[in-house]
Amino acid sequence: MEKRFRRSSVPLLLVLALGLVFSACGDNTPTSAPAVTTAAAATTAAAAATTAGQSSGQVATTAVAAATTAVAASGAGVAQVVIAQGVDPSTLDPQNHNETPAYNILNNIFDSLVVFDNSQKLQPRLAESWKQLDDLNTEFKLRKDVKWQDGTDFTAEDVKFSIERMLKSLGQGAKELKRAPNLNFVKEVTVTDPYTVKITTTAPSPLLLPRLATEHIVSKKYVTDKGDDFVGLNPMGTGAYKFVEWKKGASLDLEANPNWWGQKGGPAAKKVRFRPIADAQVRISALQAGEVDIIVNVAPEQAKQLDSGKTGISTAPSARVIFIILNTLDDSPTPALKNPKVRQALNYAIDREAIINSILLGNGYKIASPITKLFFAFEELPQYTYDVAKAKALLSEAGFANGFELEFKVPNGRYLKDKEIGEAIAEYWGKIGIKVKFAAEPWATYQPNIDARKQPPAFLLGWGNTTWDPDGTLYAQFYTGQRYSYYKNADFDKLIDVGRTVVDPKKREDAYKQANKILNQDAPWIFLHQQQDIYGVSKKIKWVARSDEGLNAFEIAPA
Amino acid sequence: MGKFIVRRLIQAVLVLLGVSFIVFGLLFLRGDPVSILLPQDATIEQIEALRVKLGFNDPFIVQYGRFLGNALTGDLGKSLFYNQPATTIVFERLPATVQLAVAAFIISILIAFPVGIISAAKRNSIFDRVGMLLALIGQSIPVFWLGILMILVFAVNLQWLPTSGYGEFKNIIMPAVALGLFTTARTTRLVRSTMIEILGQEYIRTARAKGLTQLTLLRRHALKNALIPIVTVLGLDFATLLGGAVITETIFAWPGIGQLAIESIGRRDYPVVQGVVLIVAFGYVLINLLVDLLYAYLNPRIHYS
Repeated sequence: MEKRFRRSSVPLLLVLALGLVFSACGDNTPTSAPAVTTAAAATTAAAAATTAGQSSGQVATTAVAAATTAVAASGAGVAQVVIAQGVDPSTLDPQNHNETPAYNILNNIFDSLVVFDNSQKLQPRLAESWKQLDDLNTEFKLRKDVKWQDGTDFTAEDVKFSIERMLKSLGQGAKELKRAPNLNFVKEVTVTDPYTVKITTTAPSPLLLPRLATEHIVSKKYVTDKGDDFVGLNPMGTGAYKFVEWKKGASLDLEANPNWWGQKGGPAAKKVRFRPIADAQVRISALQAGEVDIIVNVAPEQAKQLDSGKTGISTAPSARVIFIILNTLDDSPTPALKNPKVRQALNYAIDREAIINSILLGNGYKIASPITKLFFAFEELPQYTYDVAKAKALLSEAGFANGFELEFKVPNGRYLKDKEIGEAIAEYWGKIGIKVKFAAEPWATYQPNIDARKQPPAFLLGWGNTTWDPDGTLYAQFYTGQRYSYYKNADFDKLIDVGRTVVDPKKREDAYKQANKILNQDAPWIFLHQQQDIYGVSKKIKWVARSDEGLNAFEIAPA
Repeated sequence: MGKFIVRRLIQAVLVLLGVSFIVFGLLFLRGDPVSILLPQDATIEQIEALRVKLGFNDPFIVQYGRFLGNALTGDLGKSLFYNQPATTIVFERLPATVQLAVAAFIISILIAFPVGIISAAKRNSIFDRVGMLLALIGQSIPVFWLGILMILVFAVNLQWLPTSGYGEFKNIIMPAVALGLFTTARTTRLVRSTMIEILGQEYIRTARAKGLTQLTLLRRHALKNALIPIVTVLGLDFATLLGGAVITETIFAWPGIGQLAIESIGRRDYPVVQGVVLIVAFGYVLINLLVDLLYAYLNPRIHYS
């Protein structure tokens, strides 16, 4: 009898166990489990409130320097916004990461001294104004109405501490803060009075302001009291949102900071959740199902599908350009590439319009140099238009009328349609007589070969640079001896040196314009296109995509 | 029994040693992660300096020796990406994977046993044929396809369940079903075939001649004897579920160790990859041991000494 009872209870036990597993799921997450449901309900409620014309009391009265979209005067707030990026951040220490996804989240919690608006113009943020005292010194006047989220006052000491925290870590190997190299040209920070700070650089450094625009300021007291490890998991800033909870790999919750200096009453979106969803199709489904409100990296062919009903898309020209690096050095495995005429021919052989229109479905812009419209010192230069006859003529002039062999590789799945674009280019080059040995490789094996400089003499790459200063692209990609540079030109190097050391913006502009002209004619790259970033956005909210890939929740307004 | 367990535990250590060698060797061949740790415009000199500092310039055997030495003290190194101990990162994600594996496993047992037994008892009936057809389909559908399809149907169109995520009861349903389907299908077929074999045995005919009801016969005489081969497969299946949820976890944004492994491989976060692999290997070995011990319970004729 006893035995029989035990056996027949096996299925029952299984059911019980299943129940336990499920309830364990809930137990682990006491705060978030109800949050999802209430949030959904609250969002609907807020939407209803908006349509009914009621105000939930969130009238923005102060103009926000940092916020570039007009959040002001829209009346009601948004109860909760969920934003899906592809990956989770590595840390919440704003000075110890190298990733856009982490920056995007932290920019809601922290502020920088200055900031680029969506037209790539520098704007005040924690610094009200700044003044170049001489070649080496810049003085910043700080806002006096800023408080840390723990209630303490924000002062010049915090600025000094933040920058020195980075500088002190330099050269500490694995302990070096990952963002520290960005400011390695800063010599010292001097506090003049509680709201004035002077930054001294080791040499004239025109890059100071563009670099400061992406460096968040941390609280001296908080970081000193709590220690690095705690700070990496519990961020506390001066920004629009307070950190609530991070469940790694699952969700990261923020809530509006009602005392934010940037907007009276705090930002319009009251609760913000960031979720990592790796699969692009699932991100789209989540948006369509109404679970999330903003998704990143929508593929061109899926954009149309999203642009109807409850969802829409928002696009922005990207800070990223796509190109093919040619090995023009003396020891190039393909000596033909040393001849600028050959490189021009390879540029003329490609139909960029066809690539942009048919492969990217219009989501790209032709480029004639590495510097796009979004950058300082941009100048319109002659495009390499599709011209097979001219390409062939240039090849014969260079003595390669019968073409030559060229090994060419592209990554597969790293950039928008990279493999398809590579296939098209291999074919275009074939048409002018080049015998192309083409291969597409996954990024995981492709990337190490870039670092080891083992890529073939022609390989495709993308480069993003959100300092909006040409230096970040031109120095790394073309300056003699740099990691990505397969180009050697003393005249060009001199111009880049001017850009790096001369503070006078006019002189810098001239130097970069000249440098760009050299690149345009000398063609060490195959210039392809500037990408366009596509975001999916719920119609419940108003939000405009940014060229720096930022996801600033404080720029969200109710629909 | 005690001796048997000790011997198996020694074997387990050897297995883990072998696994650690393979995973370390494979990652070594992929190249070091130094360039990923630095900003994209770092110079070649900066990269080289960090490489020396982190010991990536040492010969393979030196690096492996250092890794093993630390691993023996439970230290798998600091995650290069998260800046926290790799073991902390892995153990943070482990509960989600275990939840998903257990849920998938239970779903598969709840479906496989009744369907398998009835199919065997009513062989060649409509129920049997439909059941086996579904099992065949279940075994053939790739999980990434099924996962996306389920999301489109149940989350986007019907809006019954969330597309993805973690934290609530309804979050686990789709990933558990998607993950459990293959195991369900295979177990169903196994239960059916084993039961058919046993139902043809002489002692079953004797039992039937004694006048036992079909239900008692199936439960007391057939199923218990059928369990031995089934438990073996189930044990391995469960171990596979624990380590093999990589695709399911990625699709459903489930924050377990499968997703962590994929991300960490992409980031060349070697300590974390090693941690995941070693823990999965350990789980596999442990479950195998438990299955062996379970044999003795199911079949008293088996003794370990």
